[in-house]
Amino acid sequence: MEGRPLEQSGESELVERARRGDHRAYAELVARYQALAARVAYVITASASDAEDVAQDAFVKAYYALDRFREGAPFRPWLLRIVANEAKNRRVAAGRRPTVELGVAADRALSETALSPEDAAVAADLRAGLLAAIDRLRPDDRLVIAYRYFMDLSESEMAEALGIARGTVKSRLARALGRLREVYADV
Amino acid sequence: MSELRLDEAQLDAALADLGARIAWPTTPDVRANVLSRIAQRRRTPWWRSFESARYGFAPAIVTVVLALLAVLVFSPDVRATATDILRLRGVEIFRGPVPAPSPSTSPAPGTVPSPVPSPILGLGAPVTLAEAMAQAGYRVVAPTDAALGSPDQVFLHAVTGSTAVSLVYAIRPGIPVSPQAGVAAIFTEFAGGSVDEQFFGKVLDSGTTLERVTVNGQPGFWIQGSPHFFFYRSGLAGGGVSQELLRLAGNTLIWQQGDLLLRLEAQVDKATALRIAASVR
Repeated sequence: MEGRPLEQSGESELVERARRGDHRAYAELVARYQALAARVAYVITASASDAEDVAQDAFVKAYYALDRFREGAPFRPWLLRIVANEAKNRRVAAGRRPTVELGVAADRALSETALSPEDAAVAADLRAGLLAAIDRLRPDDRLVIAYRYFMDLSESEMAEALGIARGTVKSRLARALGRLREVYADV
Repeated sequence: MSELRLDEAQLDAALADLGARIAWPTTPDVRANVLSRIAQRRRTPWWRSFESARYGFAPAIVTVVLALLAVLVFSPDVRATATDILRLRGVEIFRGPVPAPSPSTSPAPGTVPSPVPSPILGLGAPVTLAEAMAQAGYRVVAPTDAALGSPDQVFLHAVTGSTAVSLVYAIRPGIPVSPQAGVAAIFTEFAGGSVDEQFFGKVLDSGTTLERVTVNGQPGFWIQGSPHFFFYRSGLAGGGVSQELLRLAGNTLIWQQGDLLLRLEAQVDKATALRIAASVR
């Protein structure tokens, strides 16, 4: 196990080694999750530079919290919970209402050639409208939607990352989507 | 206003499509920063945290506190005020005259004044008799003569090679209270010390007489007059000569008893002193 390259090591093995003080193992965990952590932070802080700072702070905090990490539990949602808390604190400290800069990549390789120009235009309008609506949601609602649709977290991962019971994930998501539809209708 | 309200399925599909297209800001690799912060925190001793800008005022405060302490310690007037204040606050700190220097007991400069009136300054820390017995390092003895009875106060202080136990008797019928000390008698003992006649030569001034006596079959000296201190040979290897302050500056009986060097300071006559000494158990 110890001889295997870090890049091929399992998550729980990396966590265990990091917990014992192996900085290289922790660096590998950072490498795996830093993009995700920064995105979660970005959804909450709405600032790219804040998101980067939050991600960094969260990884440092998480390292010192490894002792409290339940062995064998999934690392990703546990980390995201720390990231989200850190991001919320940052947002409160910054004292500003975030204006999210979420946008759709224009040069995205996703092909829309199957759509007629008219349908493609409608789809683009829909996306723009949804993004604008998401921007107006409360951070908690944005986060639930982002976890589900932008980061593909499972239901149990969402429960862990949001710090809520697994049974309430569905209703939390449903409420957020309901508010999104209302806001979208008003955009 | 959007023309159409999305149903659940449409919204679900639209959000999934959107998720794949979001232009996330690029994030630089934070690994190096995270690792260096982890390593730093590991290595940083706690006191280094005071070097941060957050505690930039700390040196100034430390300086002010040290300056105040210096004033308190070296200025009697200010100290008097301070002790008065402390007493008002419920802290019992009595101020007494600076004790006459005694090489074996002289307090270091700046020592907090002893919480005891002048005569017994320098006798050491007030303790109970039980504590003295437990801490002396030898079997503590005491006069059993009815003229003294039980001591009113007990003190411990270090002497060369041993720990001295002093029993203080405040007021006793038939024993005049020492004008200097305000107490009737002090009985002091410590282990390993010995006296001999030649040590007294330099000490005794005119009007003070020295007499060799025998107490319980052991050698002793009766000093009548106003001796202020005496020399003794400590029990340490090499047997260096030390000196002890006599606080009553009055009649003093010094004698050996086993490994102990004992002395009784009291304004009593020789016969009474010998009687009291004979009662020591």
